[in-house]
Amino acid sequence: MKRFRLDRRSFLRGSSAAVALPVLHCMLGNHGKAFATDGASLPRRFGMFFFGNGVSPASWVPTATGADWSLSPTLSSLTEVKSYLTCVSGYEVKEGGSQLHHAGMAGILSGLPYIEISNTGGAFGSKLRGPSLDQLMVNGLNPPTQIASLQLGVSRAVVADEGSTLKSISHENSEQILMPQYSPLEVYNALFENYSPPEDPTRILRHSILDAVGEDLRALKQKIGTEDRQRLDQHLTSIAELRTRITELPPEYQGACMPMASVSQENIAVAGQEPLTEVTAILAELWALAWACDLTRITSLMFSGGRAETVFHPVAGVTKTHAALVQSEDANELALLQPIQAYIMSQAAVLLNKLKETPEGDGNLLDNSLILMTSDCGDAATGSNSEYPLVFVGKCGGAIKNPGVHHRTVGGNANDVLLTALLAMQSGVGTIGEGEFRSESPVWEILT
Amino acid sequence: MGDGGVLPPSVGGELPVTRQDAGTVNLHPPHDEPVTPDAGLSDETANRNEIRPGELRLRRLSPFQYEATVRRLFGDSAAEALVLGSAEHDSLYRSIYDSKSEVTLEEAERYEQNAFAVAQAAYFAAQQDSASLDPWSWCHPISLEDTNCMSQIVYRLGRLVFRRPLSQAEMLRWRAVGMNAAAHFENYNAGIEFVIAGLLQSPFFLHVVEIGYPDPDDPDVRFLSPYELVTRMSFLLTGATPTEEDLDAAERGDLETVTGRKLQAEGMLASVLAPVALRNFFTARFHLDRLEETPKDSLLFPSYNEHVPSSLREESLRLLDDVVWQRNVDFRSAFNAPYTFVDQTLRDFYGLPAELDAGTGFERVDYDGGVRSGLLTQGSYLAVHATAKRTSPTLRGKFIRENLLCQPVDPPPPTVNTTLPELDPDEPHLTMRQRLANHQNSLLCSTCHASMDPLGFAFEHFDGAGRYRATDEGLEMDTTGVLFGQPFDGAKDLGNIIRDREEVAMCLVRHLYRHAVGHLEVAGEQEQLQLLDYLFELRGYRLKEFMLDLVSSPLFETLGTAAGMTEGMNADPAVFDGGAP
Repeated sequence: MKRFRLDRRSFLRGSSAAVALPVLHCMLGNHGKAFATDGASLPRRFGMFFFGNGVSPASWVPTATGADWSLSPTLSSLTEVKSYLTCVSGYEVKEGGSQLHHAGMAGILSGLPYIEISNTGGAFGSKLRGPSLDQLMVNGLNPPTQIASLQLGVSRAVVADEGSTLKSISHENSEQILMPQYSPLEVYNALFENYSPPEDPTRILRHSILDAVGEDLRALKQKIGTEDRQRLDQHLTSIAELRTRITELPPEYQGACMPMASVSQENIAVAGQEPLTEVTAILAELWALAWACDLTRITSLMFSGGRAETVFHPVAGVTKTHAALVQSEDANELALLQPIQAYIMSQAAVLLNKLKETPEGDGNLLDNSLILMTSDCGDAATGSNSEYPLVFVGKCGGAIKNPGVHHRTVGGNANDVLLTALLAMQSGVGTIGEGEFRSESPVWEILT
Repeated sequence: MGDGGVLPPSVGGELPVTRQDAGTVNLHPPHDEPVTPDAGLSDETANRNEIRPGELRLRRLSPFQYEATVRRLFGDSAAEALVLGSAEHDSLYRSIYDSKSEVTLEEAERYEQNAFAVAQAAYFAAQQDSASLDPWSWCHPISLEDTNCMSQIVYRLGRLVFRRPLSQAEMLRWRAVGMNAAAHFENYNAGIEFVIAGLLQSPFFLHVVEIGYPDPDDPDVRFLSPYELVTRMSFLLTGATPTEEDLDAAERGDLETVTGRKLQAEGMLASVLAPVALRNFFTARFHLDRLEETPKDSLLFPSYNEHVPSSLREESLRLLDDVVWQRNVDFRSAFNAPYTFVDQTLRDFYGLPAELDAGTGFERVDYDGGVRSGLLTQGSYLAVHATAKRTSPTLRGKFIRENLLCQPVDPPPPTVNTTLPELDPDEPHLTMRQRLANHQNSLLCSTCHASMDPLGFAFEHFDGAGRYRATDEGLEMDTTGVLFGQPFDGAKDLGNIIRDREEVAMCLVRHLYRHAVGHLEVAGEQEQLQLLDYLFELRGYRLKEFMLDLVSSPLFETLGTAAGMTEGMNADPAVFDGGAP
């Protein structure tokens, strides 16, 4: 007889409410504790939220440090998830290189300097020297999910002709690039086209009971009169119908894993305007579903690429590309940078709020996740990779301090921050970077 | 029933051999309960000095019985894990008819969920050493493949759940469920859990199965097996499944003699479950479960607050408890008891003085004269048999006719609008007797209403919520009437008449009998029922003692057959598809 192992997760997932289906002790924790609350038994998940062209540190970095810090103006739309935020400031991507954005992006993704490549025509290009952080997680954790990792993208206005560094945030290695999927429909299909809801792991045994009940009914039928036999025939019919009904986990046991029937939002610019806000909204839902259904545990979202050429039209007054604005000498144009950064954070908030609204176990997805929000440079307007934007979101199954703190080390090695993520995620990777910038010491101050 | 006056000669000499004819008593069931096809046997059959029992039928456990059984077997935590839909309480099982309903898909699903909930609760209780039943401790398996251990558990559990020993085939069938689950989960305990969850879905658990064995002298009569007998006794007297000790007693043959049966019944009546079971019976009999369904206009009856309905129900049950259990006196005294039981809610509602050392519970208060005495002057009866705004002499009278005297009243003709027209506020107020005068004047209505409304007028000093009123908005009320030739004026008078009418005692005996055996009495059972009437009288109408007579009546251990029974002629009722284990 085929044996199966119980998928405990399918019973832990978001099912702390009314018990409507048989839940036996053997499906629960070893201690018979229903719907484990310690979080440790739930898988940890990792995400990246990436945007191009850095930030303006003056309006990004919170003023207070420690546990009692307040959101800076640029971060102000993240109030709903404030307790889940851990801000790390003052750090610097130290891997150098002639190209600010290439160096920042390669450094923050892989902890290594980029490899310069020659493009046709002699234009500058680069690629990563090693795997990006999310792929280090995949390699270390080897998650048993349908999809090893998921790459999402919002703005298609990326620098396409300078190698692979600036146009993707997920790199298996120098040559294997995992390009973001920009189309919500394609993402939906990748996730759910071949998806079947989890099966009730007790199905076979529930069937075996109903079959025995059926035999009892047939035996009893032999002994009684016609009218009662007809009643028992109806009972037999009910048993047979119940037998067929027991196939998939009912909704209350699928928790938040309730995919929509389809998606229709396209990611195509109309009249030169990309549907940034609309696409973010649907991708946030798909990300949350992908995690709620445990289709993947590692997801990256590139809101805009390295040195992004996105036109942030939802921000009042913006008509030029982001890349052009950061290069601008015009004070009026430079004044648009902070509102753009605030807009980007408002879109991050859409995703993070969605994850927080998605229940898991006794809490929500953010309780067991770690999401790194960062960029391709520190302060693009001043051409600096110090004061790198680094914000973590999530409690990572209890590994990150609760509530999150603002820790500041001026001139700190950004690789320490990447190592912190690798350790918090229990990825098994104990060091990152090489040479003098190799890190073996995480940012202890943000860990529990 | 013209043959009601003669006792069977087989009855012992301590009883009177003749009695008054039952006279006007019509013991046909009321309309809301169906008449079995057997109800009209020929006079020739009925006159035979033998029992001709009603048809053999399966009875599903009522939600009350189901919950009480789970509680008794698996403890409080298991019973609290049950989900019994309110719809089931409201519509199913309310009468005998409902116990013969079919198991729908939704109910099969509910049974399954509850079975697993019970299994899980039982396991948790066992882990905390708080289990009333701990099959996990019954034996210690040497391996996941240990079938001997599972056999022991399935046999003992199955005997408790099915209320009889399992056959060989059943043993193998349910043991396989347990062994499969143990193998799947690599956990023997889980196997035991699945056995519990499975047995609780079997028709042998969900029904009171009474097949019996045939009377060798009469193919139409069957006798309950000892297990079936102890089960019937237990569900009647305790509302729940028999205990393991009860089953052991049955197996030993303790119930073969009347003395043994009475002894066993006395033990059951001493259980804490016995008063609860009788309360369940009274709740249905006296419509105490309808209080919440009979809302009152809060403008007209501001003192009828949300706590009143449940307190009114408790008041009536306290009085019945007092009569049957605390004092063990003549049951009929409930109809003219000069006292009642009230809590603070009812003190406020009835306008009684507050207790000085105000306790929160119920306390006995004596009426000291006054207008009230007995059940029919309690708020429960008065409020349930009324409308939201006013009294209903018709409903109050109908209850007495149908439920106390077992005299069914025909339903109104379908063409008649039974809604009483509202009073015209511009016209002078009318009493209910005046408003219902048309009932008496119209030939179409008066045939039936003459039997109901005059009885109801006796209660007109109690408004639609059950509070006393001296006048009906200033109008004097005529509360006089005649019942069985005896004149009365007011509720107290009527209560005294009802108390002494033999029809009331006979009606209760029949209701208890239907409750006990799950079918309406048929002609072939009447003579034994009349013997029970005598015994009730002989016991001074003390219900506790009468219950012993009821369970030792030959009727109580006798079954009829059912149309289409074939294999049922098998001599051993405990054997289903296979030999004994």
